[in-house]
Amino acid sequence: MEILVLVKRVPATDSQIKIAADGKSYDAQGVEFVLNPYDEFAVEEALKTKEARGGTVTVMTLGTSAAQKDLRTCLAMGADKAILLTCEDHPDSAAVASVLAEKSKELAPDLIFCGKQAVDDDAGQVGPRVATLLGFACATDVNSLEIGDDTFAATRDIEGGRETIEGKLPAVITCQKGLNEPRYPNLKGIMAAKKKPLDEAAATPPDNKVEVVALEPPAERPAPSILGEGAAAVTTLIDKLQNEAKVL
Amino acid sequence: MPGRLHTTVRSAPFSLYVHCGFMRRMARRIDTYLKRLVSEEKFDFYSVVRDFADAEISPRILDWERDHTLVPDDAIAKMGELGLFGLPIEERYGGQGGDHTDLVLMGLALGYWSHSVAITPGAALSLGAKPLQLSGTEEQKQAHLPALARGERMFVFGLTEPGRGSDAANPQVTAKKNASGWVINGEKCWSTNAKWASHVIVHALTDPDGRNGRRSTCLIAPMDAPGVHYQEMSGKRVWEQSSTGSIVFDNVQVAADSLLGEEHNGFKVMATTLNGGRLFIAALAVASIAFALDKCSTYAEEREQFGAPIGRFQRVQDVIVDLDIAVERGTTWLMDLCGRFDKGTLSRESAAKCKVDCSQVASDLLVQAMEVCGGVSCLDEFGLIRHHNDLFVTRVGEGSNYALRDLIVRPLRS
Repeated sequence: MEILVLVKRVPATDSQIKIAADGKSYDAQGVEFVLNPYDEFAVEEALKTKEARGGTVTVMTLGTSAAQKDLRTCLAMGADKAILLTCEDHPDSAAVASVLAEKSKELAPDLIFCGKQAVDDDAGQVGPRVATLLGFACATDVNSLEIGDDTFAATRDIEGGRETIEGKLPAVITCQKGLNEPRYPNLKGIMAAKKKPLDEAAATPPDNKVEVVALEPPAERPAPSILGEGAAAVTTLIDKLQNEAKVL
Repeated sequence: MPGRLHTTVRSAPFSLYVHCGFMRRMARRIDTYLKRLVSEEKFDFYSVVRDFADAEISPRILDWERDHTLVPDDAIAKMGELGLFGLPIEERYGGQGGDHTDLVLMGLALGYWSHSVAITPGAALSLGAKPLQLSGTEEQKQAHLPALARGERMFVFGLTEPGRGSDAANPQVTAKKNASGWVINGEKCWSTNAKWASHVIVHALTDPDGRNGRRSTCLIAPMDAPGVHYQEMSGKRVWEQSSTGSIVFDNVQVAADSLLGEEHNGFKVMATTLNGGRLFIAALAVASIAFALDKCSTYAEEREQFGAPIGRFQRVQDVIVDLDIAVERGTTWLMDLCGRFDKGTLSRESAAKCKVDCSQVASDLLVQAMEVCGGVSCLDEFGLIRHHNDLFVTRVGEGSNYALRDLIVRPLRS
């Protein structure tokens, strides 16, 4: 079974993010980058599928050459080979999906895994867009999965319940927390990753269809205040809840 | 204004974040030094163990302390899955094929949170597997190393006795030869990992009339052999989550092929084993200083007195600077000695000097770091008191600092 995992390098979620002077991007200075956490579920599920059914796991990303490090992490976890499509620009979701889908055609995968979203822009578009461009079945936000010879059954949480969908391979599965517990790479894996193929090729994404026009940090929370003590404070509290917080 | 795009929690292995909750990893200053000292692959390995410790050990250690439990089986199993119990075991025996530098990096990463956790794989490897790797026959290696590497079996080193510590060349435990092999009698104590042990390497007196250093023999005894009795030592207030056992041998019969190394040359097996073990103990001391540095410098920036963060006061700065110097010096020293150990050129004196100095400097500085942080240092959840107590072991474990000074002085005498 040919298995492909689409991953992305993102700022670590415990990084302190500063908005850059242009007001449209963030300042990457001093920011630690990691493999998108949801993509770790995707890599783990790909490895588990390979262990159960055999095949090859390829990880692929579109990004700067710095993403080599994250691809090596995937190789250390157990992926067989990696492809880095290099690009210095900031393509939008449609452009990213277009490049990844084009390259995917060459690999003819039976299954494509990716995180349900990248935690930097939270767009969540690449998985479904790639599926559409390739004409593959697609299951999003999957937290339980069974793979048959040429079928899949995916379960996902929906409002007030769980939904199970079945479909035919080839398919794109976007992975949600709960699907598995990603393995840590061990020393042997880290050493082996050095020798695994990591192919690099320049990508030319199509023009962006959307652009980021503003990026703002969340509003600062106002300082808390003590309204009073005991029963005397109740009237003030109700007034604040009604007129300031507007929750009553 | 700096903002957060996400508030997150590190909830599962290897930087797994979700969009709810919040936890910020304490930045480790030691990482800056290690990154300069070791190869990228080695630093990657260190980072994995560090992330593992942040996710799997640090959130649980306080509960284990308050419940007075040893490192739980599931935590040991997870370290096994990560390959830690096979770290410096050769790949042909199913290990990870690492070297002593990797082992010490593991000690630095795990010891930052808990010496008890770090010493569990640490002793299993440097005291359990290492003598087998250094002195075992091919048959012995094939019989045991793969199971040790998988974490399914664990060896302990039976060295210290109720009446013998520093004078280890003359054990009171005896082994007498008979037609079936050897019969062992006596008691070993302070054996790290005894609770989980499948086998014990017994350092026993076999030739009382031999010259000093040629009187003892090392033998491998299964812990389930008739006459082997293990008891966890109670009342220990250091390394509280580490198993420390007393093992009694009552006419224990072991086979002739239990011999590890040469007959009457057990002291050599023991001495070469302890060389590497001492570097691991030094690593735990350096890990404690690294923790104290991060904790103390953060606190000194946050805590305000007399209208300024206390980190602006010169005497507080002095302590932070001394901690920083000790971390950089300790890591540099350790990485150099690990390289020499792997080449087989590390002298006993060099390993001893590093252990003596790192442990002494660490325990002295830890008290000063606690003094900077004041009353909060007395609380278990602040973490410094754990390192304060645990560091005592680094001064007396794997050769007491007093006894090791006698070894260090020898080449200085004319």
